[in-house]
Amino acid sequence: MRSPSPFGRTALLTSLLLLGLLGLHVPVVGAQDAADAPADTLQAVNEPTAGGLKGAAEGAKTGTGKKVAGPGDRTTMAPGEEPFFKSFENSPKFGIQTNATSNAYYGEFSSILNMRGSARVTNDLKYRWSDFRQQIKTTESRTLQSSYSSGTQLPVSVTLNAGRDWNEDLTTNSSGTENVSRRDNSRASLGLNVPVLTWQDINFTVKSSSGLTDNKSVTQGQRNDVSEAFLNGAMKVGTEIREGVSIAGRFYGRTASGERNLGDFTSNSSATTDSVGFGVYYDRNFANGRVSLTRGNFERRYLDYRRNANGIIDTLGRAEDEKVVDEIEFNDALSMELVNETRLLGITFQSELSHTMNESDFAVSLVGLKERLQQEADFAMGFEAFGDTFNVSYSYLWKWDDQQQKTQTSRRGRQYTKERDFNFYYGRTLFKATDLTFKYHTGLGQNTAENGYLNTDKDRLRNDYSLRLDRDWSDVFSTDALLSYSENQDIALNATRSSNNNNKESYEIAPGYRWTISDRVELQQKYRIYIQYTDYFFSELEGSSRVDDYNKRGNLTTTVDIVATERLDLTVRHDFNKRFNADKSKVDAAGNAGYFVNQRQRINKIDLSFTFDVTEGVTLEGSTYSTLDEKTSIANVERVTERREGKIWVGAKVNRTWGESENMELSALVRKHNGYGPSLSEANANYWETDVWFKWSF
Amino acid sequence: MNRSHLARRILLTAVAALIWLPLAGCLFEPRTPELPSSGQDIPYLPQTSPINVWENLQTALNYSDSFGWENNIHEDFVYIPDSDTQSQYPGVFVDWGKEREMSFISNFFNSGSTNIAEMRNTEFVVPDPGGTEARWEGVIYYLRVQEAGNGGETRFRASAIINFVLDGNDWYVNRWEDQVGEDDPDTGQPLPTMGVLRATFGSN
Repeated sequence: MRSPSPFGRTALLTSLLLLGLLGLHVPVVGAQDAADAPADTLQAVNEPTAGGLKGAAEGAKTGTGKKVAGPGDRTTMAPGEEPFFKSFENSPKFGIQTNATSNAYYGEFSSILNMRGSARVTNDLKYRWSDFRQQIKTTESRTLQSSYSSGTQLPVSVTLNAGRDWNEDLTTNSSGTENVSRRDNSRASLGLNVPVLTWQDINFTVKSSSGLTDNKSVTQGQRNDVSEAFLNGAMKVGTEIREGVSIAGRFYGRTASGERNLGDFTSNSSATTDSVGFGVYYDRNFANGRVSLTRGNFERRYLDYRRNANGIIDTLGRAEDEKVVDEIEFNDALSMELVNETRLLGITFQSELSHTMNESDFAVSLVGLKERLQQEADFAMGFEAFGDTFNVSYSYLWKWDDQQQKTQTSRRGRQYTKERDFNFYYGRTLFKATDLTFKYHTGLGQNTAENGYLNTDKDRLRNDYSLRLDRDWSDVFSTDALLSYSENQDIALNATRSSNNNNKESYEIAPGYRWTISDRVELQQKYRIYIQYTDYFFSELEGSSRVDDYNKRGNLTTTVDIVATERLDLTVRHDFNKRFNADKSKVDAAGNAGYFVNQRQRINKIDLSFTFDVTEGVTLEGSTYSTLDEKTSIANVERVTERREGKIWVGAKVNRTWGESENMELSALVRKHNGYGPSLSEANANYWETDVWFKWSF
Repeated sequence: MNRSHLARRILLTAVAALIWLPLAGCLFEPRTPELPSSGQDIPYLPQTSPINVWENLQTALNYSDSFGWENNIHEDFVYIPDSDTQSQYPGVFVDWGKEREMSFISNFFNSGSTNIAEMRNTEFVVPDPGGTEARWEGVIYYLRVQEAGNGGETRFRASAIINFVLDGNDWYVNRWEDQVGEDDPDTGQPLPTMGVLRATFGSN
């Protein structure tokens, strides 16, 4: 389908909008920048549950925002007292970065022209080249970005942006096939933001932008170019109907049209999107909250490769003229939410209810129609009394999704998800400098297919308990202790999958202390014992190959921090780790289980690191670690393996400035890494790490 | 503590308990599963080494079992796409962590496709794990996906850098960085990485 003269239409619309806005009589009382309006309704439609619709609802609220100084607020500035051009600064920067992954060289040049009324012009020019060490790959990028913002010079806020990004990625795979991925993106845009207009106690905020994008790319020898012009506009309207109660609405629209080239094919492309939001907001007496409703949709027309039911490009074996199609994509979304917080008699009650619906469809792609619905309810209550703190919360999520692929005559069937979570928190200062906290969580997640067609229905139950005691015995000595238990059940409902159903129970005890021995020495020790039992529900059945097991772990970490001199800091750390894995081997008549230990492991690791301040801005540093890993596997025969691994790096950090206004800066970090051990590849065992750059401002 | 304070504390605790008690019994009770049919074990290996974890991901793909995928992916999981996929799906992979990964794998398995995965090429030399971390550079995986409807096959083959971490007593995958699509062993045509699959199912 062809769009008539896309650039001309958008340019005309932009001009009309500009004339309309500039022709308005603006009662200059201040403004609030509508920066929180979604930049693109597509975003609002695509992310209905998070930033999009929620953001839109929040954005609608700001239509009633407080009046603050902003564009056009001539009551707060005296232009005659300032020169038109206030300052002009240029900053070239050059640098090198190397590490185990890549070597890179880069250069940047930025300039900023500051003008009267906070207006400014900025230019940024960047170049970067990288060579990857662990694969045959190089990347190169060049970026130019220019912008102008009018500050408070004009009655409306005007922003102009123009930029170009070029990047190229050359990668060769293990078969020697080289792939070139190249992108060249040019763009320009004009943004207008009108201060808050007030009429009959109703506030209006208007924002608009228009621009051009030209994106050329080549991937695997195929061109994929898009040239489009766009225009969007947003308006917020809001008023306070009673003290502490406001209503607000938000309208947003965007249109884009242009041309797209894909392979050897060319066609027009277009997109129209819009969204509407309405909300009631209150904040009075003991309660605050909002009720909001937002609806958004888009329609996009573009050239695309033929895609299969999984959305994957599917052109193999097709004639050339069948590989590319004129696609039309639709999306509709609706979101409602109700949020409330009430504080009564020292108790805070919070509730949040939300409902989101989303539907998308394609004209050609075999992905076809997709529908999604999500409802969520969260409730929380908390209070503090006489040193006790209680928090209780419960949340419930219910959602489903469905799909009808183009090749199917009926829908797939809904996939339902239910999630429930309950949290309880209790905190109390038992006595002086001694705090007790108790946490409890239980959660159940359930997945169900409408027709059970995939046999993947499942439940997951989780229970967590933890008790923690913290005590500061003195300014130099403190202790903490953690006791926890958790249970995690994986339950597949269908007979073809239920043999793996299991319950994992974990117990943990972790005491520790911190002792500041002197101004120069601090000692920390943490001991942790952990055991996890895995019980398969159906391991006793004949034919089951699942075996119940447990694993235990003990870990002692000792850290000593030493301030040796004014310039020298040292840290020594030792980890001792001991593990056992065992399978259940028998159950006696009394029901007591016996386990056979099939693996023992002991790991010792010692770290030593230092930093030494040579002079102001110059630091020497280094670190080394050594690990001994002894593992004994016990089956028919006992097999012992011993692995040693270590690494050392030394380097220096320099940060120096020169010049009367310290306008020249050198930053350098250079480290040499050397390591050994079975898990270190050659690239990771021996390399230089550098990050050196020089910057000059004038 | 005086008597009124004690009474209030008891009251508050009772309120919290009263809220919880009705919920605990019925709302958090899992459903009763069917007895397993014989010979239907999903053969997962204990997560005692990176190689077992990587095998488990292969098993999870072959059995379309999202439990198996989730259990072998670390809480701090990060996925980094190759540059081809990145440019094909701009913005999709920002902050791709475990939640997005599970959304992807759940949607993918729900599509009802049949998967045949070989997560490691025979030439790849598995490095010994040392300490609590392991890094596999250049492992080549190969996944064939047969659509539920028409049986059409889509293939993915790529080299990747995989990081494993030992957390508690188990190993997990905590970073998956696709490097570049590899050639199809049958046709010699370059194939996409699983980043394309992730973008297709995880971006919705």
